[in-house]
Amino acid sequence: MNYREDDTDSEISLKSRHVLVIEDDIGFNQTVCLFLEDLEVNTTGAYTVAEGLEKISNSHFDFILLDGSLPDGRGADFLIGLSKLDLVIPVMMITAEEDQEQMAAYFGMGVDDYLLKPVNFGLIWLKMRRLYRAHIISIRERAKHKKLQELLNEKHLEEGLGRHVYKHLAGEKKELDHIIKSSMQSSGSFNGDFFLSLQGPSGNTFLMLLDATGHGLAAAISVLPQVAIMRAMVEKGFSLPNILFELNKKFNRDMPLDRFVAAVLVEIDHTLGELYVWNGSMPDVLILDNAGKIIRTVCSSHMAIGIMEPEEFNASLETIHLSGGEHLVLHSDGLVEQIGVNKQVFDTERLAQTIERCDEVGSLFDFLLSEFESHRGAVGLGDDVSLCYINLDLLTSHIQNQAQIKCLEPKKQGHIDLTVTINGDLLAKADILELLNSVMNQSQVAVETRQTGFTLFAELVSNALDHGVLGIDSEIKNNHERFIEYLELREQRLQNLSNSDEIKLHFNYNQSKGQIEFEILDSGAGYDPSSINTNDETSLAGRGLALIKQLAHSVECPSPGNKTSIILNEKK
Amino acid sequence: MSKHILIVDDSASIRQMVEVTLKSAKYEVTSAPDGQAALDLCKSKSFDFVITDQNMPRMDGITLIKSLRAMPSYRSTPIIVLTTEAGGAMKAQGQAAGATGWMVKPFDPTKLLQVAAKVLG
Repeated sequence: MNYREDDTDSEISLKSRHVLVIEDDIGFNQTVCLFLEDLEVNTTGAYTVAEGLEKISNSHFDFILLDGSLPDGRGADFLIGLSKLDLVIPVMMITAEEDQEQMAAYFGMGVDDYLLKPVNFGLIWLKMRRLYRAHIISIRERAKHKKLQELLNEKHLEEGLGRHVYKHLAGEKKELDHIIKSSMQSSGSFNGDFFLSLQGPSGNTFLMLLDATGHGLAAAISVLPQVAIMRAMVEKGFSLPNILFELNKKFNRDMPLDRFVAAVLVEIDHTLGELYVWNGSMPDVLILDNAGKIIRTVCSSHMAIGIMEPEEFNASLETIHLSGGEHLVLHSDGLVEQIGVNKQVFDTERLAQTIERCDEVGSLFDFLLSEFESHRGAVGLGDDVSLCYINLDLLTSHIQNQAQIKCLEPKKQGHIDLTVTINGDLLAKADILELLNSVMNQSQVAVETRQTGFTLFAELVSNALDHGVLGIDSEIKNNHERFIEYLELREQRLQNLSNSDEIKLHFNYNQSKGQIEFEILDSGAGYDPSSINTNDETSLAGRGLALIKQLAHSVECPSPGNKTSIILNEKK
Repeated sequence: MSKHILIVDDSASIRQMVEVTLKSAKYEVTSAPDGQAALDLCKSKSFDFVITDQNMPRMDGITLIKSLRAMPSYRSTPIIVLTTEAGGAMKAQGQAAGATGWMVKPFDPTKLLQVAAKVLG
C-alpha cells in the first residue's frame, strides 16, 4: 500500500508536522516513529505520562498518539494535563482491548479517535491523516466564522452610520406629513431611492425624488452627495437649473462610469402659482385635478444625472401654470415594475386605473399604497419602491399661513439702513444673497416678505453681476443651448475682475412702515430695459424684469440702466 | 538494487513492525505467516536475509532453517531467529540447524537495523 500523501493542500498534510508518540513499549514506539519518519513526518517519542507532558510543554506538536496504559499512569492522566495547557491538538489513542471501557470517558476528555492493539500501521496513518485534515478544516472554519462575525459586526456598524447619515440628510418635517406624503420601501438594508422636500429662502418648495442605479448600500452611496448638494444649494437660494448643473457635474466627476441617478426635481413657486419640473429617466410625473383625474403628465425628457458631460447637460425645465386644486404624484420605477402574486407587473396602466378608481383624492396616497400591497402580496420587492404625493393647494396655504403667523407677531419700531460696496475679486467670492438674507432675518422681516425679497434680490444681484459687471448678454443666459456657454463665460470673467468692477447695495428696512427700500448700482455700462423681452416664459434664468415688476411695489431703472431701485411693502 | 528480506512470524503485529522497521531503511521486505509458507516462497524467490520466529504452526523456525540450508542457494544466506525463547538449549539447537544469529523479543527496531546492516554488509 502506498501511504504517501497526495494532498495538494499542504496545510492539511501531515508532512513535516511534528507528532508526539507516547507509548511505553519501546519497540512499538520506535517502529511507529520510523514508520512516520519514512513518510516525512517529524516524530518525538515519550514513554511515560510525565515525559509526554514535559515534551508537550516545551515543544510544538501537531498530533499526539497516546497509549492508554503507561508506567506512571493512564492515558487519562495525560489528557487532564494536556487540557490544563489549553492546547488544541488532535489526539488518537492506541490502546489495548482492556481499555475499551475507558474509551467513552476518553472521548469526553478530548480524544478524537482510537485504534486497538495490535494495530495495522496503514490504518494508523489513514486515521491520522483524516483526523488531522478534520482538525485543520475545523480551525479554518472557526477562523472563517470569526472573520464572518467581525465582518458582520463591521457591516452592522457601517450600516448604523449610514442610516444615521441618511436620516440626518432626509430631515424630518412632521408638520408637513399630511401635505407631502411619501412612502419609501427598500428591497435591501439600504434604500437607493431618496425623497427630499425643502423650502428655499424665496419661499419656493423644492422636491427631489432620486433613484440610483441598483439598490442597497452602493445605490445609497450614490444618492447621499446629491442630497447634500441639493440641501446646501436650496438653502443658498440657487435656481433649479444651477442646482441641476451642479448635481450632474459632481456626480459625473466623482462616481464610477456605471453609476447614475434617475431623478425628478420640482420647484413650486407659491407666489406665481407655477411648477417647474425636470424629469431625468424617471417615470412620468403625474398632475391631478381636485377630482383626482390625471390632467397632465411630465415624462422624462433628460438623461439621468451623472451620464452627460457637464457641457452636454440640459437643465431646461418644464413650466406648468397652476390653476388651483392640483395634486402631484411622483414615483420610482420600482412601483410600476413590481411583480405581483398574479406574476404580472403593477405597470403604469394599472397605476392610472388605480388613481381613477380612487373616490377621494385626499385619500389617494393611502389607497395607492394599499392597492400596491394587495398586488404584490407576499412577493418580495424587486427594487426599491417610492411613492410621493403632494397636495399643492394645502402646501401653498401652509406656506402662506406660516408667513401670516409671523406677520401677526407684535410689531416693533426698528429701522435698519445698510450700504455695502463690493469690488474686485470679492465680487466672485462674497455671497451677497446670503448677506441680504441674513440681514432680513436679523431685521425680523416677515417671512413672506423675506421670501419675496429674496426672489427679488436674487434677480437683481444676478442681473447686476452677470449683465452689469461681467457684461454677459442676457440672450446667452436665457438660451437652453447656450446655458453652458454662459456658465463658462461667467467663470472666465469672474477670474479677471479688477477693483473698478463694483456693486453697491443700499438696503433700508423700516419696521413701522413695513417697507424695504433696496437699491443696487453696478459698474457696468447699463442697458435699455425696454429692449428686454420680459414675457419670455421659457427663459432659463427665470422670470427677469417681469417678475421684479410683479413682486415689487415700485421699480425704477433710470438711464443709463446700471441702477435699479425697488420698494417692497410687507403684506398686511 | 535494494536487498530483499524475508520475515517469517505467525504474529501479524510483529510481522508489521519488522516490515515497517526494515522498509524505513529502504530494504525490500516480504513476509510469511509460518515456516512452510516461507519455504514455498524461498523455492521460487531468492532472499538476501531471512528473519524467522521459532514457534509457529505447520513448520517451526528450526525446521525452516534446516530446510533452507539444504537448498544450495540458501547455504550461506544470513538467517536470524527472532524469538521470546532465550534458553541456551534452544540457541544451540538453532546454531546446529544453521542459524546465523539470535534476537530476543521484545522487538527492538534499532537493534534489528544494526543487525541487518551488519549481515547485509
